Amino acid sequence: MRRCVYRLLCPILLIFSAGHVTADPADNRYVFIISPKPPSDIAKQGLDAWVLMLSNNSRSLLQDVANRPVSVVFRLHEGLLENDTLESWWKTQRSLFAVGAVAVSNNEDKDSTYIDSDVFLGDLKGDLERPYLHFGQAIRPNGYQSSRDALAILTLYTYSVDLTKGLKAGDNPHAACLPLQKANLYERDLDAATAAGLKPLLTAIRSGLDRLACGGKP
Amino acid sequence: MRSIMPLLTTFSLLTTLVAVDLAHADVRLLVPAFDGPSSLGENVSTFLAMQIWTGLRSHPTPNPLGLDFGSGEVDWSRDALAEPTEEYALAAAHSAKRDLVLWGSAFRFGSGVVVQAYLSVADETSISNSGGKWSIKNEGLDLDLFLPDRNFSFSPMILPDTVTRKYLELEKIPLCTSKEKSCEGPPLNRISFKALVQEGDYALIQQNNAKGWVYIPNLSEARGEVVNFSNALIAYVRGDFQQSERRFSQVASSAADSQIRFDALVLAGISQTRLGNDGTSVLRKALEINPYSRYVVQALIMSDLTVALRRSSHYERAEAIADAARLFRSYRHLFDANEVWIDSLSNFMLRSGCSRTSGPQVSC
Repeated sequence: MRRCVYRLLCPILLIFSAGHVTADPADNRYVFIISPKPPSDIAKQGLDAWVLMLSNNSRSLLQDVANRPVSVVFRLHEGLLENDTLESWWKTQRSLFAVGAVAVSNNEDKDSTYIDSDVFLGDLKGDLERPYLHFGQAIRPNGYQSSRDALAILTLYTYSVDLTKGLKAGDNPHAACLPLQKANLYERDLDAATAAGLKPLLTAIRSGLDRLACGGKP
Repeated sequence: MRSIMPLLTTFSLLTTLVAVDLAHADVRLLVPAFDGPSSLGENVSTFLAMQIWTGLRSHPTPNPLGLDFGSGEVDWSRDALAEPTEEYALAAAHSAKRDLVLWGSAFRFGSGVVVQAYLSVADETSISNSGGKWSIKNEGLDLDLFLPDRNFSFSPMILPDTVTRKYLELEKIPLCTSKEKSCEGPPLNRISFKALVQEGDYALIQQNNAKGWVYIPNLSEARGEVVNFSNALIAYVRGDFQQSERRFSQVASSAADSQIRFDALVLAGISQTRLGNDGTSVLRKALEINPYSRYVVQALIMSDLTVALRRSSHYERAEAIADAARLFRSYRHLFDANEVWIDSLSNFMLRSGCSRTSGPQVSC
């Protein structure tokens, strides 16, 4: 692939060009990002930065916790969010989650860009009561770490649940524990607002760690 | 002992990654130019590489035991990776025959710039054959443990616009006769120079026959984390456990991300035990912080066994081995029956006075 001159745009181009992908290896996992057209250039820049953050950090995340090659493939689709949009996209591939990301901003202030996210986890909800999450993230430098870690937690959790589904009684749960324990560490770096938004997910992570006895048996 | 480091350590900036003599390098770190707008990524990676290099040492000072940790090498390229991903970073390191690669990118996020750096193990075999693999021996049996991760992700460095501007303006880095932030000195020739020593925010550089000071603008607190952890890992692999313990401990007690602090704490504990002390209490603290880490369980068991084998009293030795066995039983379900580590551990314990109960179970 030719080197991209503007690095920020590359993941977006990759994702858009991925509409006609060839057959995927079995161990690809998909993340769908569905977003209405941003209302302004500033909002578009914020959305691009948010997508770049998600894709950059999630790419190597699964490679670090998987015992075989596995990749996260991102698909960005610009369109309106209807009631069943997320579910429809989620079902098209072996997905981790589908997120409806709405970028809003004040044209005068780059720091005011805000990404409001609705997430659908399908049958990878694990110990969550419902397969839906909702949280918001401001695109500002000091919020970068918390935003990055929130998305990392989401990626790791859904991947762990996916692995857990394949476990039979008596199987070694370590492969499913590994992403879950990393997600549990990432949790500690979340700011209070992000942690509050993700409370059900964080509770589900702890519940999963206990249920799989990732912390050892008495 | 920075003043003698240039004798054993090479530091070079490469425009192409060929024709480098690796014959005397034990641990080789590649630092490709970070991806980023204009010269920002290149400048950030240049200064990080410079600082890592000046932190290497070939032996402790004083050196009553005559230790020699071999040589270390930090090379960087002005070429950025085709894509700022682990895959491309590893490919670049393999192609240049480097053991480790520090890579990353700088990108705009809201009103500022974020620099995200990673340190990846490129050559597991080479790293294992050096000190990267912890191996304990008993009556001809080995029990091994590699590093906790192959890819370490650092805390993001958040650059306010003032710092970003400073970095972007560094088209010509001046070489000053004294520690000054700017001067009319000759520009740093980025094709070939040697970093001799670092003092505070300044590095002493040798370029051709001239020496001069270069000011390294402060990036953020995370810069220290990247430099300390990279230095610690290089020291660890070279068997310089005194240095690795100190540097890992600095990262573990810093304001870094939980994951990198946790890895640093575990490696600090292992460094202590490998140094000849007892890192068990540090590893127990790590297990309290993250009781879900199988790696820490393995490290703690190996530390227990190492300390046990040093005991002269049969009773004390048996107690320490029994501790390790109890810990192992609690986490036994997180290992596959056919894992090499399990086999080695069982045999290791049997040779250490434990007895087999049922199947692979061992009782001490």
